[in-house]
Amino acid sequence: MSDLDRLRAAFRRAAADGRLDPGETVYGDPGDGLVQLLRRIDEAVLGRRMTIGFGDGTAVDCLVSGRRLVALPGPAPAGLRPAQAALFGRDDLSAEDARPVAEALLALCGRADRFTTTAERTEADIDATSGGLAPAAIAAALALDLDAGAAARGVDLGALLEAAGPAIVAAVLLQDDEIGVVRGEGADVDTLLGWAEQVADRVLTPAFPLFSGLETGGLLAFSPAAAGGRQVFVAGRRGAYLVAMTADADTVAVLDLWRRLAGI
Amino acid sequence: MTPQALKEFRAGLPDCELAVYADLGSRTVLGADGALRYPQEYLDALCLGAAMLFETAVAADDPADHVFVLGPTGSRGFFRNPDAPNEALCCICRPDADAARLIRAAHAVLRGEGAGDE
Repeated sequence: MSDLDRLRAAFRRAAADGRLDPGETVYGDPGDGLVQLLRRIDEAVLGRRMTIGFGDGTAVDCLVSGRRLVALPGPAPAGLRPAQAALFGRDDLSAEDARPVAEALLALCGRADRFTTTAERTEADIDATSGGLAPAAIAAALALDLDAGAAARGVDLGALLEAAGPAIVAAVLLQDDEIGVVRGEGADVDTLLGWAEQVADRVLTPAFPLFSGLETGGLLAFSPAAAGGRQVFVAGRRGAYLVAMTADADTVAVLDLWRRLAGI
Repeated sequence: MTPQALKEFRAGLPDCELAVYADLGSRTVLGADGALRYPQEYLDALCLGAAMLFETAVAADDPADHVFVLGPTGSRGFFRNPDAPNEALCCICRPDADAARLIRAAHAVLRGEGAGDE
C-alpha cells in the first residue's frame, strides 16, 4: 500500500467515525502505542463504546467514561495470556487490574505499528464513578509517561487567559454543566453570556462534526462581519471550555497565541 | 464559484489540503477541490459543520464573516460569501497554516478576484 493509499484509507475511516481528522495513529514502538491509546481514553469525557482496530486486524471494544476505562466488554483477542484474557467480558475493571490491562494492551500494540479508534454512544449511561481504571494508572503500571507531549492535546485555559492579558475583555468558563464568569463585567459579560449560550446549544454537542477535537483540545474563533465588531473564541480542553471576547477583532493574533501555547 | 476558481484558489495556497464551496441553507456541497479524493460523507460533514458555525453566530446576534477551528491535526477555515450569505468556502489546512494569507485569499476569491490578485 502506498503512502497515498494509506492516507486515503485514513480519511475514509475518519469520515466513517464522523470525525474530521485522520483516525489512524501510527506509533514507533509498543510503549508509544500504548501511551497514545491511553490518551484517547483520557480524552473520553462522555460515556461511549470505543473500538480499537489494530493494524494486524485485531479489534478490541472498550467502555470508556469520565476519562476512565470502565470495562473490556467483548471477547478476548486470540493469543493473550490467560490472565490477560480473563480481563475481557467482565462488567468492570478495578485498580488491581491496572498491570494486567497494561500488559494486555501493550501486547496488542506490539502486533502492529498503528491503530484506529471509532466511538459510538452507548444506549445506557456508563457509570464510571464506582470503578474503572484511570489511564494514568495503567501507564504507571508499566512506568510509562502519559503526560509526555501534553501540549499537543490542548492549551491550558488559565495560561491562555493570562497570556492574552487585557486583550480579553470578558471570559466565562463552561465546565460540568456550570458556567462561571472569570473576567469582565456589565454589558461585555452580558454579550458574552449570549454567545456562550448559543455555543453550548449548537456547537458543544456531538452533533457538531468538529466537536471531538474541540472538546479535547481545540480552538474555535468567530470573526465578526461588521467593522468594529468583537472577536469571540472558544478554547476547549478535556471537556472544559473558555469562552472569551476580545476588545478588537484580530483573528490572526488569537490563532497565533493559541498555536504558540499549543506548541504548534 | 466555478470549479476552476476553486482549483486556482487552492493551488495558490500550499497549506490548503481541501477547499469546499457549500450551500449552507440546503447543506449541500456545491464544489470541492482537494489534494486527495475525499469521500462524500467527509465533505457533507464539513458542510454541516460550516452551517452550524454560522447559525451559531447569527443566533448570537453577531453574524460572523469567517470562523476558524484549530486543533493539533489541522486548521479549518470557514468563510461566508458576503454577496451570497447562504454560501461559504470551507478550507482544511495544515495545523500551522498561514492564517493571514488564507483569509486574504478567501476574501479575494469570494469577491470574484483571481488567485493571483490576493
